[in-house]
Amino acid sequence: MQRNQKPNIMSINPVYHLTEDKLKKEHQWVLQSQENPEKFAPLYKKYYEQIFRYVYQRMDNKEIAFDVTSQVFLKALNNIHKYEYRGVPFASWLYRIAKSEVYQSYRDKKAKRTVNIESFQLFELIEDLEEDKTSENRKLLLSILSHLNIGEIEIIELRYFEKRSFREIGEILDLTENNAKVKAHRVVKKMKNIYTKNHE
Amino acid sequence: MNKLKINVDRLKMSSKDISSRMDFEDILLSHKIMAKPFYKSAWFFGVTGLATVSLIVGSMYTLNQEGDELYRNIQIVDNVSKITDTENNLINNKEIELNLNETTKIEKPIDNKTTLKIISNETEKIITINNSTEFQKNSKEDAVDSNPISEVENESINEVPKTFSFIDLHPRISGKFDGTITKDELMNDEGLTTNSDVEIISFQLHLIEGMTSKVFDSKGNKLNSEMKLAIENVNVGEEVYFEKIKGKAHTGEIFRLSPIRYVMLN
Repeated sequence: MQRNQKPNIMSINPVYHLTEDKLKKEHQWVLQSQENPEKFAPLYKKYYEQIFRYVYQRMDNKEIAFDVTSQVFLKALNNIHKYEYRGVPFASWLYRIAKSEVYQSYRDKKAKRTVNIESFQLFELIEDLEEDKTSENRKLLLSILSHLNIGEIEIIELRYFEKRSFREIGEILDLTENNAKVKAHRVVKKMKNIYTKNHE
Repeated sequence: MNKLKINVDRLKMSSKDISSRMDFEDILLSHKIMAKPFYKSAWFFGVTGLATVSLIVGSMYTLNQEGDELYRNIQIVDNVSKITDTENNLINNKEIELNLNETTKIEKPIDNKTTLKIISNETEKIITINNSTEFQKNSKEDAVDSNPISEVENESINEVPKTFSFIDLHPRISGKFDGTITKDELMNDEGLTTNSDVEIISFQLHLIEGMTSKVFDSKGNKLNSEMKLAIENVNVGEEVYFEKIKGKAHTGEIFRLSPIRYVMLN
């Protein structure tokens, strides 16, 4: 069996990473919207698409995804007075609300947990798992993914499909950066083990 | 384990499509609807709390004012005896004899003046007394104005809506009209009396014996020998009741006075 030597160093989603000035500006918007809800508009405009894509990535129905996205921003606006600046982008707080709302929609049976992947992402993941990019392995990977639990698939999505840093994953899942790393490592190991068993 | 649904290469939505669904006004409207109601806000608690405290303080102040008013009235009543002495002095100086059948009325003080109204059997007199210090310094002519009621300060009397009249009709034995009493006090020679010109003409003595009571009647205000004998047998802590006490005023009018109750001390 031919295997790649080492997985490529992952590119990181740049949307999450803001300069100090941008973070300060964003914090100003938050402070203003705490005083006056109408000042929330710039934050809404800036993050609407990101949050929608995050939500829609995890469900099948577009309309439900729009509803959930609206709900996320409504909750954010209702609870903006509770927001505390922790030196990370405002988006991490929105993602946390979005994650909670998406899970709520699963519980309410409004949406079914769906994993949306591009073909190239599948092959990248196969590469990261140090497997050959064959159609068999692709099929096997799809099968493995469909049998992961919700927590595990969340980590894989955030890390390998959405290319988020461990720090960001930690912020979204309310974990420490190291904990996020450990969890991601465990999932990958589990997937590798399944591959190994299948190859034997 | 639930099997997840996996979509590969789903059609991507363009940013334009996503942006077209943005509606901040709708979010803002929903936020306003869902905003915390006024009764949950700190303002509400602050305002209602302040109002409640003000109400309590206001009520307490008002009650205290009323209490002071009552206390002042009580003081006027207490002063009756003192004023009676002053009155006697005044009367002696003017060489006027006071009839015992007099009723004294004290008007509420106005402008440092106390109006003493003496109503005797035949005439009515009003004595206006300046404040006490002035009264003692001034001569009797200055202090006392003994003109008939029609000529003296009728206007000032009319200005005062409240007058305080005090006639004590409560019957008593040895000065007590309630509480504990000794057998000696109970059986003294004065019998039942009042602090006014009302004379007690009959009464009943009730003594509790087991589940029943024994009743003794007396004509007049004194305890008869049968009553005294019964009282001798009353134990410490037992109760003695005087009921159906009838009094006769100097006008000849007969009326019933309030009953009295004592607890035996010896």
